[in-house]
Amino acid sequence: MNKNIRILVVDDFSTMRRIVKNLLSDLGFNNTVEAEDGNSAMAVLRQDAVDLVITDWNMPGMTGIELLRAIRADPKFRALPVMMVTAEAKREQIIEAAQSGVNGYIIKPFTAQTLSEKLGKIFERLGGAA
Amino acid sequence: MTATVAVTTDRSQLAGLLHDALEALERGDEAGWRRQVDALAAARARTLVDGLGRLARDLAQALDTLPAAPAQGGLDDACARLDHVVTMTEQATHRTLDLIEDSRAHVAQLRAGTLDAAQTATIDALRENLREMALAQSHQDLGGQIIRRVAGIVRGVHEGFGALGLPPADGEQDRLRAVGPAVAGLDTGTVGQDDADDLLSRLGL
Repeated sequence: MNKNIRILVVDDFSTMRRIVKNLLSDLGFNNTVEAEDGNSAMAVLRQDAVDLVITDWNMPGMTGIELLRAIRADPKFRALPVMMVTAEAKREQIIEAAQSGVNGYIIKPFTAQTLSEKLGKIFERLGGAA
Repeated sequence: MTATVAVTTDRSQLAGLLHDALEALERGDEAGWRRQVDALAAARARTLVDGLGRLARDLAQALDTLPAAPAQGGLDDACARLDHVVTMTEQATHRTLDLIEDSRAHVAQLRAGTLDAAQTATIDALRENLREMALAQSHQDLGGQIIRRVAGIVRGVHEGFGALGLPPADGEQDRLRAVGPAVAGLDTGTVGQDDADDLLSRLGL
């Protein structure tokens, strides 16, 4: 697994961005960039090469699900892996995310092990392409 | 008991209105029976309006309207208080994360030295604890999301009362009622520890 991949962490709460970055750092991923909602995330994606997006759902401006749809609608980012880390836990929401093309879904609060496992699964499915 | 009396009065009043309406109708008094039916409708609606009025007043009190606040002060005040809670917990969480990151650096330094197996195990346990402490800080995000949702509900209820023409009446301010931590820019007339000590010493304590 390439630990130098660039990971975009999207959450409107600066504390949660920091917590996710800390956990990623523990797992050996130190190449991270941040955004506070879907709009600023899209701006980052357009100007920066990103290998993985980890996003919250409930954010003012552009939400995480809207960001996911925008990413999948753009031919440039269609294959970009997106993982949701969110407190949204309704069946319909998870189904909607899956149908919109999410690659992983973690419900807050989560454990370090869950994050590690879901990341592992994403990389596994990518077949080492990352 | 009070409720029973109110219901009885309500019932006899309604019966009277119905009788009068029926009599007017039988007499062929068009204006008369319409007036009675209108009175009947008004009597039924009053309970509802009274109830809503009471709710509006309760809400205004719950929002802790400040003495000099403008008409919409209660709502702004309540939402500002909720925002303040989010900011306060955010600052506290960042402070905690600062300390956790600092501790992680210390642990990394210790680890760089020559260690026996037991020491390595202790340091690994510390690293694990620090990671869990950082993760536990996610309460700030989760709590913050709930607080923002509550602020939305408060806004909706307040607007609903406004649409019904029921602006919360100015309730009497009870200066002694406990209101929790003072919020800068919102709460007036609060003092710091030094002021409190001065005041107490002036009172002979």
